[in-house]
Amino acid sequence: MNVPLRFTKGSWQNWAGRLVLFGGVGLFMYRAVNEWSRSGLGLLVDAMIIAIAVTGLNLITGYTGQLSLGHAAFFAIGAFTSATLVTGKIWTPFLDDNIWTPGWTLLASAVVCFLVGMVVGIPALRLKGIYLALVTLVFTEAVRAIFKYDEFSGVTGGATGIKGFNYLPPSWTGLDGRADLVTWFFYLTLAILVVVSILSAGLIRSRIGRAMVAVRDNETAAAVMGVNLFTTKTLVFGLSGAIAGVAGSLYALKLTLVEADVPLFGLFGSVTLLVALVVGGAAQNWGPFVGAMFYVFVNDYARSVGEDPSSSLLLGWFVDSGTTINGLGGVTFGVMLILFARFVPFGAVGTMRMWRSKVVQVVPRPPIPAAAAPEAGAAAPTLEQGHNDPDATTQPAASFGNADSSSLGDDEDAS
Amino acid sequence: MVKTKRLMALAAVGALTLAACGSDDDSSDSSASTDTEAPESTDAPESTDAPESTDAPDSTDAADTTDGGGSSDAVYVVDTEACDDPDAATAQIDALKIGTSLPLSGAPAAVFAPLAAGQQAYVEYFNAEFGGINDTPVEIVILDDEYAADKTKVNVDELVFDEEVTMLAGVVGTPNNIAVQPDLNAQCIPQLWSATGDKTLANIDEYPWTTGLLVPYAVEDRLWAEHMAEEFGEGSTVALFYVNTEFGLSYVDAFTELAAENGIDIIAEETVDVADNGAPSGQMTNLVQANPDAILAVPSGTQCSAFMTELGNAKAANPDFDPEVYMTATCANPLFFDVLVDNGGSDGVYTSSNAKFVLSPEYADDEAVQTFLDAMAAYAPDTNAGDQSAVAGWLSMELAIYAAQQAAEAGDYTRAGIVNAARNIDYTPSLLVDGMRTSMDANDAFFSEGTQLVQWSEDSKSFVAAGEVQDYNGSLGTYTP
Repeated sequence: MNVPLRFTKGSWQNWAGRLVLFGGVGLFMYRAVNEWSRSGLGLLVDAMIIAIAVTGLNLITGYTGQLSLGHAAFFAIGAFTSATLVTGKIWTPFLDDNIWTPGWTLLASAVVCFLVGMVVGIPALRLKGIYLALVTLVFTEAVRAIFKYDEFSGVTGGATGIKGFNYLPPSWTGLDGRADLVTWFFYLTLAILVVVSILSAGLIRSRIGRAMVAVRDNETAAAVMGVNLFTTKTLVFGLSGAIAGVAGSLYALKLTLVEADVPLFGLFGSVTLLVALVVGGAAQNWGPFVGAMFYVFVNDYARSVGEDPSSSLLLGWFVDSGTTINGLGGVTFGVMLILFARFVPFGAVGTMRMWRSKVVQVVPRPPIPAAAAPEAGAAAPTLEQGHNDPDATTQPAASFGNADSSSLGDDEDAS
Repeated sequence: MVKTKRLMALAAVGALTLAACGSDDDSSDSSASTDTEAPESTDAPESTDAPESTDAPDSTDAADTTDGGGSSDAVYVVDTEACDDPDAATAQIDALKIGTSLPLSGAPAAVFAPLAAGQQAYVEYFNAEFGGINDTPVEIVILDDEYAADKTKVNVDELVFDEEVTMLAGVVGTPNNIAVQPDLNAQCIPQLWSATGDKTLANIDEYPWTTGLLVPYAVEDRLWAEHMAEEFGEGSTVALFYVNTEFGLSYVDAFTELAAENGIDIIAEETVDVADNGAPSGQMTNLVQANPDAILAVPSGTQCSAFMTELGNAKAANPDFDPEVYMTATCANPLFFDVLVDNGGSDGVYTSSNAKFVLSPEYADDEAVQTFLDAMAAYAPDTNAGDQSAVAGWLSMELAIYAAQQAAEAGDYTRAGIVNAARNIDYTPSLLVDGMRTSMDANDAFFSEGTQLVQWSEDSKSFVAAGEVQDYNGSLGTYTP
């Protein structure tokens, strides 16, 4: 058997691989919602919410190369938008009591964050790298300060925030109110994650996606080739902000409270999203999901080690039952992140694809033959025949890299 | 393929739109003040009219503790009909399992982790000494929330649905308790002896399943305002330094009213972010410029030490700057003061406490103190027993188990029975200073309304009494927003 095996994109082997992948994820989700404890399912919901936010960050940082530490701000804006609309703190037309249905606030958050993102994208036109990161970081802290500002407390609740709003399962779901709240959020978040992932993948494959990658790889060359930097950057900032805002909205509705001091609304949140992106793999469609799952569940495991070191595999040999070590959870998580960065440098998805490519490769479909019919008896042209082959009746396969290339080059996408 | 993806995306968006439309009936009334699904008002047999204000009375004379001060002794009975699951609220308890959530990691852990040690120590002491309730040991589950309200909510979910605790007790933090209050009350899970003095936890009509443990911040403010007026007279000036959270604002809101009543002018306000554990240099510079007669300081956790250190530096650099300092009782921990650099920042700082300082020579022969110290040595040897946070933790569990015992003895060993026992409690733990009575009833939703002004002495490295015990038991009534 020749290794690596090569399968054409769209072939039955390719589809079989996708089926196995999606089937595995589907089975995992099925078992989670039916067998996991409520707290475990709640963690999974949190992971999916972060995955949604990281999907947004992936668009601007992974595919467009703009390092943003401001996505926690969009997360917060989305959360506060939902909270203020649901509790009627903001006047809105056509509603007598100004009370919004929680579900519609998801769309409202997306719109608000899109507009804010477009505005934030303007400084990105002239700033790059660490300078852009600093500006977006300042933006994050400024947004927190605004939400906490006493003069705005009538809308944002000031330092005390907004509490006491619920998004109970609609009656048509058949779920039982508060007892099934986490189950409801599981399905809702999963649906939104799927939609956002599909939209993101579609965007990457579009002309805008190609422009994003071109900007990331070489901004000057992209401009010379006709890419509109203003449109590309501002639009992508807007879209990524909108996605992060929807995630924030979900977070607020699940938590039933928002306050400016929530860690995910500040620098900690921005770093969390960035870590999840890097861990999962930047510029990978599955990267946000894998990275978010890693971050949330490994962090939870590290916390449990901190709470009871004697029950952990490694420390249980040395620590007596009942002993607590302050700060151990944080240290554990830090060590695991460092080990991950050392041995999985391209992120989980990137590294897995690299390893997989040593065994299996999915290659692009060969181009469709030209109009002229082949002579009778002539052998069908193959990929190996180049344009110098006088018998070749097809155009040579153009292979200047994949249209939706990742920074790793081989970017055949299982999804 | 592209077309398929577009169709899938459209279908998913349509499903989401359906979800958005379908939630009208369940959440269209989700305003902050009404969507709590808390049980209806109680069926207390006597009038439950409560004073609108939660201010303590004008008189500073200690109330006569033998007849409960202003308490009416009206019996409270909780309504279980509005619970999500009324049967669960009235089901017999086989084994008492208490859950709690507090900071065990991060910066706040230095202050609050000993509270967990005190809680654990009391439960183990109780089981060892008395064998539990109905010969069944009491169990405690403690989770870490890093003082983040969102994590507290996750923890409470885990405690209620996965650990299936009977009740929650001693949850730390004002925003943390407020975050979980609506859900716990809707589910009729007792949320008792919460480690906060915020007045909203005494909202007996909306949240009857929730009670507080600490002295209400309004009582502390009353103590300080009157002392300031006495020390400096009419027109005295005060500057405020507080953490910009619900905790800090609770103090400030109450003090602002009292300042007006006592002829005190607030001439400066400085805030500090809850996550900021650095030296408050900028804020202190402004306070020095304002040069008030007194400073009311409400920092959080390790900010207490940072504030006093900076205060000492400011006093050393500015000889004319020598205000009296009144600090929140949550900073009233000898360990905070003892470790400070001896720059005069802590000397003479006023605070208040309703609990005995267990390492004080004054209580060397106190039986309750000795029991506490022995239990801490046996069950929490790694924790400094002199940490007042440990005392608070001990008290929260003592009261939680006391209420459960009362319910069991009354033949109503259920969640509702525990809440009724708590709401009608008339019991003063022996670790509280002598001269006060702690109780609740249908007209009094504040457990501990007595406290004593104390002052830190650098000479003796301890707190010394700066006034008599002030007991306002029953005076605050209940809280109505």
